[in-house]
Amino acid sequence: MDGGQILLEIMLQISIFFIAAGVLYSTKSVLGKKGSLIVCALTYIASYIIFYDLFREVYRAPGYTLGFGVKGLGGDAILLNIMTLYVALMGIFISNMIMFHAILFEKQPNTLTYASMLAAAGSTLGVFYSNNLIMIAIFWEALVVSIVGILYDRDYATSTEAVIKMLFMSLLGSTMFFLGIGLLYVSVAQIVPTLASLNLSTLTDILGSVDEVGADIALLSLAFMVSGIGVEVGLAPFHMWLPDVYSGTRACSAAFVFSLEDTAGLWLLLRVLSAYSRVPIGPVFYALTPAFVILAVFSVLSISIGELSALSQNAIRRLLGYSSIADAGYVLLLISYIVYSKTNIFTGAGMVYAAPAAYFIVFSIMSLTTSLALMGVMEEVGIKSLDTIRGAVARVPLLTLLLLISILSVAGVPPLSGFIAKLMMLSFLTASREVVSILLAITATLFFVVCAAYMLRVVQRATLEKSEKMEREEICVTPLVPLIVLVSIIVLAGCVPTLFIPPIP
Amino acid sequence: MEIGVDYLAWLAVLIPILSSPVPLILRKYGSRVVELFSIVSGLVTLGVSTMLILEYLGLGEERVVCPSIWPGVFSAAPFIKAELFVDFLSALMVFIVSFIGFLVIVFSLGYMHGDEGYGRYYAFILLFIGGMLGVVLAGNLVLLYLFWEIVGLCSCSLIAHWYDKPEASRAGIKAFIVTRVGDAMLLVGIALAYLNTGTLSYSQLPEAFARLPSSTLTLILLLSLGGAIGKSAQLPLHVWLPDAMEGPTTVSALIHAATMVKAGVYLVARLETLTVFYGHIASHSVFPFLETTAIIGAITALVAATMAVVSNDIKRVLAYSTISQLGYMFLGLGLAGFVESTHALFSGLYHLSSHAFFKALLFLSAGSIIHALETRDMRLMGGLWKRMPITSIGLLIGGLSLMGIPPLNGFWSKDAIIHLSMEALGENPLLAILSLTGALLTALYTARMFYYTILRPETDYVAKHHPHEAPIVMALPLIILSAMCFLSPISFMYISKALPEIGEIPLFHVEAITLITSLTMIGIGLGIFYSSYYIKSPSDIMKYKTVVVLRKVLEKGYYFDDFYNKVIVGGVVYGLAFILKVVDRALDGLNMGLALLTLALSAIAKGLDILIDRINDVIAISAIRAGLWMTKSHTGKIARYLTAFTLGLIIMLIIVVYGW
Repeated sequence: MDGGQILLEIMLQISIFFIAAGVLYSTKSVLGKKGSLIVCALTYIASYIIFYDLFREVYRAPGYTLGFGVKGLGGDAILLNIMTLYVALMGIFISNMIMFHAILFEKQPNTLTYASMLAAAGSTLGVFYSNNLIMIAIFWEALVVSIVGILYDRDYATSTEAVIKMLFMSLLGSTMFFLGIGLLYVSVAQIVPTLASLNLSTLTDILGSVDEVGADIALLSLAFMVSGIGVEVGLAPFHMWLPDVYSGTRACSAAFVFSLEDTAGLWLLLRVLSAYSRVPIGPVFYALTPAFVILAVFSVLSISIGELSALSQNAIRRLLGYSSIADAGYVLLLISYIVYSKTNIFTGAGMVYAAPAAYFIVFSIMSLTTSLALMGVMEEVGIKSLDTIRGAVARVPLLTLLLLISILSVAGVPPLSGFIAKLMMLSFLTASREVVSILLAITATLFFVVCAAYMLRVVQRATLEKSEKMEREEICVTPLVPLIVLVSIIVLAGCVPTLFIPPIP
Repeated sequence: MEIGVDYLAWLAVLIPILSSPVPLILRKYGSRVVELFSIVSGLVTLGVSTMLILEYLGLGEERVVCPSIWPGVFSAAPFIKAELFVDFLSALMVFIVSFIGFLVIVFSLGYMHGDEGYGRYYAFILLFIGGMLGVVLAGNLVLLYLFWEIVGLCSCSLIAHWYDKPEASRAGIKAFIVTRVGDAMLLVGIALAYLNTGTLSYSQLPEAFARLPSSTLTLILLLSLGGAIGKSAQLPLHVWLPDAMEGPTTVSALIHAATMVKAGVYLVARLETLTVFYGHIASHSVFPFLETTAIIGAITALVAATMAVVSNDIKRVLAYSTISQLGYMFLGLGLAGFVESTHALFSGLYHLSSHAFFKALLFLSAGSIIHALETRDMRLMGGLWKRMPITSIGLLIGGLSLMGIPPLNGFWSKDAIIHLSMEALGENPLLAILSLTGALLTALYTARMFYYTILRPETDYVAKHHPHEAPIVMALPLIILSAMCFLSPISFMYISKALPEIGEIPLFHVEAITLITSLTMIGIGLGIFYSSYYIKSPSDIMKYKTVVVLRKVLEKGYYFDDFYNKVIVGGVVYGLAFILKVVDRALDGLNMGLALLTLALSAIAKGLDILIDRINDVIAISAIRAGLWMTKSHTGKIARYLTAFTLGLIIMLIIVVYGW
């Protein structure tokens, strides 16, 4: 396959989702629940086949990245890379399972939501594959619009408010992101006066050679970038909308949005911010560059605010929302160290460093998303908070078991994948034995304990405590099948993590 | 395929050992099947042993080392090679063990018939024979020790065969514990030998011993002698053997004639062959070992004989006589330090061979009497001559051989020892005096035994019990053993030819002076007996206060048991009690100290606990309050979102500006 064919295949993969979304939306009166399910299944199957082909191509091609020139978008607009493919595949797979669950779980089919979900998946793929900040911004906007369609539900009272909040903050985030891109272009255009300078595969090197003024502007752009992407993924203090949206919409919709937006957002954060590792700015403190300080400060802020706020939550969905803020903080912590160590993690030997980040992003999101979706099912029997979850094991044993596994994975209990994710992250941070990395590892560990504390509180309430209502509830198992698959992967990836980390050629 | 010495040697050891569990399995098919199997196993062992001896003698070699028939077995450890060793000494012992072992099994058919524990009995008898064959055929000291322990285990179990009798189980335990003292010394000796020579194989030890300093070698030999003293019930570790009479008489016969106690004599003879004969070490280099052996043997020969004089239990008389005769054997072997070493070894082994047959005969005869009368007390016996003629003749022949009356085997062998002890008169007169006095006493207690059992008129007890002659399976071994009391020197002569130095010594040669002296001593002994039992009655003698005191001392076995019980055991118990008391007090003090320390520590811990609790509380409450405070700002109002957003952006800009 030559570059043109691959580009065509990628475009086809993205287009399939949009086409399927169009089909679903236009035939909403014809397609019922089963029809929607079949269309979605076929779309995802086609997508997986293309994923298979792309993986084969990446392993066959020399080197680690493949770029394809598209005129007008500044050089290599599409990037193929093992880790990006892997994270994209896992993000799409999680969203796939959540979508199947949503279709099977909802009594009345909501084809607008399903079509929006497919469009969101296609947009996310676009974000993953884009190698140019302009293209990323375009696909990101498409994703935001799709999310509005997912979250809006006229039958769900609080969803309108949640959608407005989300839309407002997303617009703000997008503005900041665009502002960041603009400043960045100002900074680097002196060296490469075309849009090619916004190409992620060359940005690191270009930023490494800018002059003093260019470096200052680059740093300003970093601040806007962080705030822009930070709003989307819920980094503190740009996170405030996130818990409200999590608890204000249907759980399966929130889970779907979270599975795509956070996976793509966190991976984007990693890709974009690591480009700033070579900005030649003098240290703020001894050997600490401003880029590192910004990332470290905001990561610790996100972690602490996320974990501590979760500690005082009673509503489980909000608790999971805060936990996702902390997870974004942990990823930012990893990025800050990557920036500190000036490692390009997308080329050469640096690729190895992307593995822990990829595993952490995928499995922390998988655990949280599954928990969120399971909470949606639990809400059907009145279980919403720490007060109402008491004795859940007696009332809905299978559901409680699934929820406990996914929650224990979030808490980092071995041998679940959440534990391995945290372990890999700490191993990555402590491998170099530098003071900075050790301090970051200690910070992360302290907050892992806090996370374990509130998650185990859920487990304790659900299993050890009794409630007045202890009768067994009847629950349909079919909608749970996709979630059972996710939980099984959470367990399997914990027991045999190597199965879920792609080998780097 | 030609079966060589090595295969036969291994078969001789393994057949009885491997067949030993079978009686336990066959028990459910009845006693006859078990007996038949045991007889066949004993007979096959005897046949293989005979073939081994004939094959060995046919080879014309002095020593044959038999490697493991399964190469590689135990070859990993240099000191635990599975090898056997056949020479004149082991061939002689193999013959005695397998022959007497077989006769004992035959005799047991009648004696043990109807016994409930027959399966266990035959299993241990076969293992006992196999273990003893292992001891005498072992090719290194570790293997010897392993079989040595098997023999000890079997003896303990067989002595306590009737374990529901407290005396029997006590005797079994006693035998085991007392012999352990010697076994421990042997083990230390073996360890020392390995540490100093790097080998324990009989094929390499002679040269290795020859290179050792005399003092080291003597220490090794003396420690090993300790093991022999325990096993052969020599003073001061003799106390277990008289008590071992609580076991079945057949077991006693086996222990006394062929196994267990003979293992000690064999060990001393083996050490002597390895050093003096094969290692060509001058006897003066190991003189302390030889002298100690001779002195202990001579003293034991006399002391045990004195105890036999006053015992009324026929089996105890025979037990003391065994101790005494074993003393003669030790004396004979130890005389190598004083006279020509080949003659000394010859005399010791010659007596070992003779004793095996006459003592087996005596025990089986006594067993026949006990079987008929159901008592071991000689004072209840009498006039058995008419009622049990074959048994009486067996007892008589065995007894006369024990006394040393020509032409029986005991005469030739004991005379050889007495002759050598008289040769050593100039160097150590004590040895001759003790051995001659022992011969006197032997005549006295043997005649006394004859008197009580055969010679005197029938007692009321005997009349009431109507004893009758033993069945043919019991009588046949007696007849064969009686014949062997005349013929055993010939078999000894035949086997001893394998060691030319010994084979050349005339078997039936007696010095006139020795003959006269020993016969005089026997005559005196018989004279004392006659005067005590025919001219005067035993009750007349008992009027003398000295005799009464002496009798009491002898009956008490020179208070050895009391000494062990009160001084050694009591001392140990007291010592342990004292130590325990001291330790107890020390522990009390320590406990008190620890208690105070614990209190102090617990107070500190409590303080720390409270402090940590407080810190925990503060952290937890702060965390929750911080969380609450943070979530308080989550009013859901977009204005708040914007405030937080702006704040974040400002922080970042400050960092960027500060970086300028």
